[in-house]
Amino acid sequence: MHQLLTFAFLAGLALPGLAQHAHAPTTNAGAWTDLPIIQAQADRQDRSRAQLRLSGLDAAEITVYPPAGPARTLPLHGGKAELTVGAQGNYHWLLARAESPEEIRVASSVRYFGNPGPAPTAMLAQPKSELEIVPQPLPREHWQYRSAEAWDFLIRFQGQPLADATLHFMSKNGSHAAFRSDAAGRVRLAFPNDWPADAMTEDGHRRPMTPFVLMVEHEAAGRRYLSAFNHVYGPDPMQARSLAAGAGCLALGGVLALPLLRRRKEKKEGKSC
Amino acid sequence: MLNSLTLGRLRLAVQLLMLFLTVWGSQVVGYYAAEKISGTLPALSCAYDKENGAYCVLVPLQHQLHHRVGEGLVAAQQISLQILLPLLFTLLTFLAFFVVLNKAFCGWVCPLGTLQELVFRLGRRLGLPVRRLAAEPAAKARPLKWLLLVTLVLALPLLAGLGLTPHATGDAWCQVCPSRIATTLLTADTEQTALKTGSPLEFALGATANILLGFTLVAALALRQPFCRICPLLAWNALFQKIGLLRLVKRQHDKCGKCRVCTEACPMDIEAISKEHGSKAFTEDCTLCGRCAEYCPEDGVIALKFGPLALFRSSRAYYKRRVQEEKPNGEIRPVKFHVKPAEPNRG
Repeated sequence: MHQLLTFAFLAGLALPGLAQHAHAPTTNAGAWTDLPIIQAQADRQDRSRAQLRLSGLDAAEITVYPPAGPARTLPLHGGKAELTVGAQGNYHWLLARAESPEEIRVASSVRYFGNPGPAPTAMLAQPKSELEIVPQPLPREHWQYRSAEAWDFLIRFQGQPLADATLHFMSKNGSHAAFRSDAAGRVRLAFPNDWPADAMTEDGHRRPMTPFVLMVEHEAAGRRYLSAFNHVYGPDPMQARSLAAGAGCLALGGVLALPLLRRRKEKKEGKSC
Repeated sequence: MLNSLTLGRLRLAVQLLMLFLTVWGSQVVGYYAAEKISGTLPALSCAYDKENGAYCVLVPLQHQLHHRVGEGLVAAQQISLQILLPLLFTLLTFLAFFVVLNKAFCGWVCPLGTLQELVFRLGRRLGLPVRRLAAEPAAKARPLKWLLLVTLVLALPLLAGLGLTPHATGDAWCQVCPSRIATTLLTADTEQTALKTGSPLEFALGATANILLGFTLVAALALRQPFCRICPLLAWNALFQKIGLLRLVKRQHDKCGKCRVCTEACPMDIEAISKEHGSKAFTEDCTLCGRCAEYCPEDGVIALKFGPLALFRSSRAYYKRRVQEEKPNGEIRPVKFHVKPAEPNRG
């Protein structure tokens, strides 16, 4: 609940087009947020399979929207489910919802599968719940959300852009922020640089990533809607890179080739026909 | 209009179009569609470029050797169809691409090849000298591309997957590839130019790429296609050049080996094109740019053929027209302006 209170405080501060980042100590790894989230863990042995875990929401199933074709549901057992996508890869949208007469709460996320599959354009365009946070666009195969990068998200209600809505950001690294959607329902979210200095020390293929969640609330016809979208982001790669060293090596290469540009007496070579 | 259309101009137009597609193409084919094109025609530009329309075949090849074959062997202790199928898929799509185009990828599509040609043209505009690689150093450089292919593209990613070499070697070729730096810089992205400081190995690999690109860009002002001579993709293409439908065909002629204009026109300084004929004239270094056929002054001696169909044949008339605009060694003839004589005053 304390996160919601923090959000409420930040929402009060939020001005149109202005975002605030605040840093707090990293929360407990097992419970960094009370908001509804779906965590997807890749299966290293079978790249078409992922383990899903729902938290912060009391739901019986997760609905999976493939990039093309009909959605299907996975029953949850103890908040967990296993997703196997078969031959069709690319992004799959994951959604869980809990509904009462007063409130509809939704958790959503996406999972990328390496097998070829249709582009997720139609999947993103399709309304999947009343209140939605839609990435515009999703990172491509070799990309991911990273600190110091700005990505757009669309807030949609009943399939229409929702202007002047407050989108709350929270990360496991302890950052909080609030953003206001513009007239077209868009929010530009700048991921905070909230990593420790040694975060970019890569351990094998396990690039450092931390989860984040976006949350938006809306009230209509006496009913409250709360939707969350969670994913992961990595540190700013420039944190462990040196542009000066790179430029220096480029210049060194150029200097090494300079002798080729010296004008010298050319030997007459070849004959004309 | 048709009279001014030469094979060289057509190739330049194709190169510029492909440069746009491979560097900024997602703006045209669509943000997500770019990945699908890569899956279908995987022999295009760099996966590190965020705006490209497709990416290089060496990326999935290294990736699959590293993560599918190498790690799969460790995990399963056996080769299963599930491990080999993606690798076969990459190889088959690659073959489909090269059976159609053969090594013309290098001479007509490769973004780094196009950049080097544009820089060489700039060198001519600046009046810089033209350097050629003599037969001996060219022969010495030739095995280097095979060495790079075997070690950096094939062996190290596989060894990384087996856990025998550091993770950074999982895409060892990409780490030293100057095209990665060049194409990302063209999208105003300096991330790839900046060197990784996390480990000495990563720093050294990145520094090699940057030095190679710096050298290539300056050397290309005087020397044609300096990087292509050691490019492992050229070696990879050469493995399959005998089965490609598009190929260079040369028949014997009395003057062959004497005038050497074709060798002078060749951006790779291939001696064999003037001395040899038949399959020996189509060497591993050929990029199928077609300049030798354009600059051969004899009718029908050199041809670019697609299967049995001759797409372009050398001819004396074409040669005479071609040398008017550009010398065989790439030097551009100055544009001559003619003042139209004033019409006589009839008043």
